[in-house]
Amino acid sequence: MTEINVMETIPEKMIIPLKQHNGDICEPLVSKGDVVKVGQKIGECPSDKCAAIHSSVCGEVVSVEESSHPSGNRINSVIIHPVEKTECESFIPFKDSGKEQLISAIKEAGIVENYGTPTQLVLNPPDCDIDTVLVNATASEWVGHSYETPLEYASQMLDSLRLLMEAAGASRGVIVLRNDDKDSIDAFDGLDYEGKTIMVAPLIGKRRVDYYFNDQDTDIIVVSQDKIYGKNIFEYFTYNVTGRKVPFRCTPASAGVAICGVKSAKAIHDLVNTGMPYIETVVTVSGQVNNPQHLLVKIGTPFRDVIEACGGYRGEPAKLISNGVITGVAQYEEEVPVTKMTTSIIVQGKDEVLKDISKECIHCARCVDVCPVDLIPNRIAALANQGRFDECKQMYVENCIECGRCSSVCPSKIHIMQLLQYSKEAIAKAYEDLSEKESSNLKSGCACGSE
Amino acid sequence: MSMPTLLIQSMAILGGLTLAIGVMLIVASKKFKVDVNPLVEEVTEILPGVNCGACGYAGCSDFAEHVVEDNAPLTGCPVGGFDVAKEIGGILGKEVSEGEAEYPYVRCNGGVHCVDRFNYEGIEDCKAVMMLSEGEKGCNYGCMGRGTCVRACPFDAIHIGEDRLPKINKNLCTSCGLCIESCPNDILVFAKESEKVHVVCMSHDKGKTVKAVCENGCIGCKLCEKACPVDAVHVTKFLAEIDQEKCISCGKCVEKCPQGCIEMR
Repeated sequence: MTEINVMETIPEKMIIPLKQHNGDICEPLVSKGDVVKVGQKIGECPSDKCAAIHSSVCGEVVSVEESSHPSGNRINSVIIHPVEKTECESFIPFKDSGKEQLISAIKEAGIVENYGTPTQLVLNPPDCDIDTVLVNATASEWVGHSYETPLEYASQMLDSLRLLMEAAGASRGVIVLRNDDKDSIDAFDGLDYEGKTIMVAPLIGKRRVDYYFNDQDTDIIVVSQDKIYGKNIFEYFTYNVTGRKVPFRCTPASAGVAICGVKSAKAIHDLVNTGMPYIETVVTVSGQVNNPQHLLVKIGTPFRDVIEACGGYRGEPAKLISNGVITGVAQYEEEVPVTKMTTSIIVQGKDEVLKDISKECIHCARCVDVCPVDLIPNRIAALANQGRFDECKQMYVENCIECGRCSSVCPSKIHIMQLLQYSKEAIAKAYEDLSEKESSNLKSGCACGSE
Repeated sequence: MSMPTLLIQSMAILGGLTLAIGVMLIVASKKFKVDVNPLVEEVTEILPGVNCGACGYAGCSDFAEHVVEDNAPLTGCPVGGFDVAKEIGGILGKEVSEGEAEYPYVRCNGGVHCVDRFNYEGIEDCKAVMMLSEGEKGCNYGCMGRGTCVRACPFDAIHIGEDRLPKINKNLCTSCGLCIESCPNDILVFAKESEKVHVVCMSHDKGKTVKAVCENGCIGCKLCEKACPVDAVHVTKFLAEIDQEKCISCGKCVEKCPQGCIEMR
């Protein structure tokens, strides 16, 4: 089993951005010269679409200023000079129960899904009812390795799922594992939970979760499927697991589904049992570093210190990417902090980074072969390049999950995925201005289109 | 059947058919006639016919219809300009007073003088660049020089110069405003021909921040304010602005500006 190490060294400065989620930026509660403790709240939510920010270290606030952020923009951040002592705010384990209390506690603890939406909005979306909670463990199953035994991981995940279901008011819960992740499947398979034996069920053909809920006659099931990789996978993921369709520009909430990650499930478990807010996260460091590893890092640690903790660069680095080679964002400086949305840091060497000039499409259809959602990427890209976005829409560009496979296989090095993203953005913008009446047929379900 | 009879017969059938269809067409054209105002056709012929949509209507003939029937302004066609307006006025028997020509100007002086934060690799389009971390330029206000305006121009009047800034060819420009609409950073705006002095920077950042990223950006030093004899220049939010009504185009601020971001044209 892969080990997860804890980052011991204390960096020279911590940069804690006041926005580590999609939504509104937090207002700072501290100013220059203040002394902060571990777990102290330093960013307050001005609205509902927001998650609170906490200090992850003890130290003195150096300044509150705009600083770099892994998303590439400059975001107002609290910069803290940390000191060695670890004085904590007294964390109080969460005692009450009930949907409302859990939701507000999650908001206060600042728990955010790794794709950016604050967890309380996923579980309790405005005007929506959630009936099924999915825990997506297909990509970050290694978080489980921070537990001592696989058994502990499995039973704690199931406890977390119970909590998530309680918070969402959902009647059914599903943990989705990956088919080739044998460790996790073994951990869950045959486990006794609440008097029932858990059986890991594969999602094959038309056997989706409904079948297994009926078959196993229970409200919590564990299923497995192939990994779905991409930036915008929720519609596809929801369909694959539950068979429900999510309309374009809608969240899975409109289909009554909440999707949570393993990290946020763990964070909620920690919150309820220890009262600790979301201040540390596990980051995978891989690529051209001397000691690639999984590292438990305090939120706000600059990438440079994380890489130093992994033994520094191997050779000369050429590209630093946060969150995955294909879907991540390449960073242009090392001074960016680890945020709640950071799942991995990848360093690429000189010979791995290729720069090519796009040439004409040769219609080899390799992109068509690899597309997991059966689009015709080359045609859509050509239409998008000419600004014919209506035709892109007719070719279902909205279904693109932004996995980037088309761009990576293209022998002409056409920026297919970027063109697809561009057309999606243009379509979304065009429908944004439509009046309620005109767009009513485009919207369906709750909270749809309003985000 | 002998050959001549066959010939005559087929000619008779064809001739009869032609006659019948001809009569039907005449009847139909009389019965289903759509009344088109002859003035609309006349006006449409005068208009440039590029269907650019700059007037705000669906195309040239649509504009013509609105001019004739709905009192749309005669000067509504920016492409045709005053000459076309005068001709339309002649047809409709209306007077037109000459408005001043307006051309877009570029409110950024950065280009190659502005540092790049990273090397962008992707599709050549300003809007696409903007989707990535608000553009590769160090300055969040400036021109990205990826030529979205160039592609928006139906008259080939804009080109990206060697300094990676758009250059407008006034001889070809028809003031249709499509480039202004296309720019994601609102770099381009209309300015009247008589307005000579312009601030070619849009950065509201503090002087220190601007200096770090751009050699030519406005740092809000207020030297222009002091140099102006008629109090037409004011620095608000670290950016000089010129009150075109007061400006006498003396060029003193242009000389004083240490960053060269006030331009006289």
